[in-house]
Amino acid sequence: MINYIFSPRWFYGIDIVLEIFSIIVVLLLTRYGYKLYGITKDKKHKHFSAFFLMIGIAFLFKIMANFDIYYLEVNSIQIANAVFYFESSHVSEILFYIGFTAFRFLMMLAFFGLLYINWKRKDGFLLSTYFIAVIALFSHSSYYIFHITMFVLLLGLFTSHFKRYIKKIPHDKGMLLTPLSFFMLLLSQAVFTAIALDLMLYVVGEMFQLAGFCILLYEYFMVIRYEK
Amino acid sequence: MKNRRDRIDIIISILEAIEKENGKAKPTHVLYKANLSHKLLKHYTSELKAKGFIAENDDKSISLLENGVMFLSELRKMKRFMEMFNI
Repeated sequence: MINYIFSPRWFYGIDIVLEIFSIIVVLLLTRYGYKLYGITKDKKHKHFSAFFLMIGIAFLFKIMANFDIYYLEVNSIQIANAVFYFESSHVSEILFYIGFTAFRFLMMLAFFGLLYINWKRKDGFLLSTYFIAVIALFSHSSYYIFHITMFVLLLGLFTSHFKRYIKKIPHDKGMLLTPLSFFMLLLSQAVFTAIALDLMLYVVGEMFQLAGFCILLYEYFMVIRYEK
Repeated sequence: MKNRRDRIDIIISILEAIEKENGKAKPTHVLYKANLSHKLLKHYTSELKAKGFIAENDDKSISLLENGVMFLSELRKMKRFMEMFNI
């Protein structure tokens, strides 16, 4: 079986470091969301916390799959812009498949969940979970389906938060951070959609993603230091 | 339109009502400032008392304790978090 690696060779491992940074950010938000639930006893705060935890777990699966790829990179060849590698182990093939499928499923479910909370919906979650699972499975052969779905979900989150910012007068600049972070993540997904064209696009996408999580971290620290 | 105040809003309004009176306020003042029914105020104040955030004095007034000041600060942060993430 032949798989594709859309990452420049010099970037191997760096993306794992970036993913670890993202995990730390989402864990901080998970912890704070759960702390909030402890006070409010509101289920949506528990769900908010769970969806951020899900993003963290998704990144762990991605790291697992990436690590597996880099380990097997010895058996690779480069043709034009794409790196092809030949797997010699069925165990690795299974790990790669499980890792990326779980990563995609959990990422889509987490961002859908955040959107679901934002829209204050109370039905249709199970049906949506089914469709997300189907997309995760099918995106293995067409990777861009996952990125397009993520783009749509993030677009929903961005517009929802941005409308809130616009509606609130006088404008609260702090409330612009959430839509801005989702906008950065949205851009990263747009770039990831086109990674087959140029390996460098993977790096650009990762940078946008890093910017998105940096804004979320900044937002977290703004809250921690908030004094009325 | 139904305007439901959540638990965190109610607790903040109770603690702020006491804080604004230099940390010591009469229950009627808190009732009025926090815009609560007598039943709700009793429910929340007994919970806050049990957790050591407020104390009832001999003259029936309510005092905000040091823990309560810290708790109020934490609640304001949480409120900000909820605003920023629309949750």
